[in-house]
Amino acid sequence: MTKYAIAVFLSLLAFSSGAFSSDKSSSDQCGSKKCPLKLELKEGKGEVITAGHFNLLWAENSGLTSQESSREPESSNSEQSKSIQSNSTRSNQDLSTSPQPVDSTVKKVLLDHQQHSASHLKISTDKMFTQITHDIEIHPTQYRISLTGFSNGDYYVQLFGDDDKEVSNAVKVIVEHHSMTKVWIIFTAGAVLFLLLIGYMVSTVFRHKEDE
Amino acid sequence: MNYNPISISTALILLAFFGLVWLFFGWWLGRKNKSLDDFMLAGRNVGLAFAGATAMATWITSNTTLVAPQLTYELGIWGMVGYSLAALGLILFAPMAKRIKKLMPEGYTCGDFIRVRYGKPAWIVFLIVSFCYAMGWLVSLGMAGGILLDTLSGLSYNVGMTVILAICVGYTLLGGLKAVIATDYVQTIIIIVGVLVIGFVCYQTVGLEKVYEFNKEKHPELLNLLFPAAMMFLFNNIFFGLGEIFHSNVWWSRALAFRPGIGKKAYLMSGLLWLPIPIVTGFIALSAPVLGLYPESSDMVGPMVAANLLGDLGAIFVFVLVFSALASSLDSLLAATSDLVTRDIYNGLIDKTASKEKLHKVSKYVILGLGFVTWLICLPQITTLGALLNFTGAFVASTIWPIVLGLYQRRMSGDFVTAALILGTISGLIGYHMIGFYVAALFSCIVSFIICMIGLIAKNDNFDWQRLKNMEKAQ
Repeated sequence: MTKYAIAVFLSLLAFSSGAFSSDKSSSDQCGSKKCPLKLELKEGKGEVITAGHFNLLWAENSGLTSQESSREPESSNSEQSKSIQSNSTRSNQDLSTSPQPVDSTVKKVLLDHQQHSASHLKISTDKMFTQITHDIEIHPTQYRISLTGFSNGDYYVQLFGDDDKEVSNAVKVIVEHHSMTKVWIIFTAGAVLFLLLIGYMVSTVFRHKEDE
Repeated sequence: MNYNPISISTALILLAFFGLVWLFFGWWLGRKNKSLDDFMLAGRNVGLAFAGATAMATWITSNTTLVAPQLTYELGIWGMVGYSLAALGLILFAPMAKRIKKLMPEGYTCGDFIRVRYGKPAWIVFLIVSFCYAMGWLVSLGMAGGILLDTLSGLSYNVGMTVILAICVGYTLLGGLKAVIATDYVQTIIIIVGVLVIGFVCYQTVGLEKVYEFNKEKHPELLNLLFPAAMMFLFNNIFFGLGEIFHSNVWWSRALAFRPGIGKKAYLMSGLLWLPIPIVTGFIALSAPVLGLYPESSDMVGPMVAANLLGDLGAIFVFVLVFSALASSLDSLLAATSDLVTRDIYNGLIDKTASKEKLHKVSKYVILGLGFVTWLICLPQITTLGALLNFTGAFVASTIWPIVLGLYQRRMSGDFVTAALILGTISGLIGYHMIGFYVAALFSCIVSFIICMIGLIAKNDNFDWQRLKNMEKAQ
């Protein structure tokens, strides 16, 4: 009975690890080739960002071999000079360079992602990427990023490889904060309600004598 | 992952070690539990040191160590200040804890109060609201466990989440509230020391000036005091915190478990001590862009920065710290929600004549069931921690005025309270979907307040406080 229960449990675990991965295709071109990665705005294409905070995710484009779209684990070892990356890939090295390689199914369940070819994510205020506002290092096993604190405006985001060549499509992000009229109405309503509550607590709750 | 400072094997060893320690602790404390009062309310005899520690440790949860940095990362200065003001929940609950103990010395749950004070319809709506909140919080804690291990070691979210949930269910099951309160005491010490060390290292390494200059140029909205979403969030978070504490059985069960005269002091002390902690964890999040750290998901930012600053050994420290914070809340919530389900749903609706021994058994099955349901809901990781928690804000903020007025005003009537809970929650959910997570609790509280005020004017219930002392059974 117990072994069946464990089998069911492990099946559920393995299923859930891969159940939500998607296999998306894209026709976007990087130079003359198809882009190895497909970049998307998690909030939805064309969605207006109202809080200056948005999430991007990327996946390998279907139709490309794993060698075309991903980094070999060995190649990542040569890039360990950067301080952040040197620490961050340790767990991957543990698994990829051990004398007896860990079974791929176990590895898939234990680890979240394999490595990809992007090393930078650039944000620009123009389509041609001449006005770069942000140039962010991306780890080879990172497939999502959360960005924050942007003011109103249109931004273009794209992933680049080590040779500074684009490895994904460009995504347009429109940031348009809530109108200040709406904000002041809600803020004032909150402040008034808060003062009423504090007034009641001070006048009644804190002064209440339990023996009465 | 973009930052995995500890290896998977180290993470698994740490998990196994802490799991065994907490489980042993639970068993050791639980072996003296003889009655339902021992299991659910730690014999109703908890002193000030343990009382203060458990209140603080429960409130320093994944919310403080993961969500406070997340909301600062998303909403900047106001996110940090707004989060810190959630301490008002503990401070304002302090005098109410005294009143609760006085009004219902034989009570077990907040559901007992609502049932006797406002009648069955309000009680059922309240149970739904409370259960939705408890599940949201439980799921957020399970998710936080998975995210923590994922961020620090690269261990799959599902494996980390499963193991942490199993450990917490295990020791809550073994020890009941006594184990929860005792582990909270140890966990509080670990958390306070840890947060202070990380905050100090962050200040020394990055510094205020760098944080200001970099964010001003690259992420200007984070420092903008007129950041629209953050302005709306400020009062929203205060009401969310108040709603969480005022209505939740986590806090009511503690008020009932503490020795007479202890509750007020314990809640005041823990609130004041908790107040600066989100400021420290928030500052850590503001340092992330300066360090070139951009998380995969905003709820990962806290442990990611801390681990980066403290290095490999420090990452282990961060792991212990956040794991303690998670465990201290997860066990409390499991115990309190199990009490609510056992007393209010099982004993109140299914088997009204059940003996205390039977209820003791049922409460253990409920803990196990809650753990399993939480695990199932955690699997898909549907949203971020902050968004999930603030979703529950729509539910809990509708309870603030009904609870406060119910404790102090004889006039307040059950019919209006039922309407306030339903319409408040609906308004909050509309706000959540139409504007954003940062208005859900505020909308809910405003509508609930208006209905309660109409109720106070329109009807006089003239409630007899003695009925709460007698703890009448449901009809």
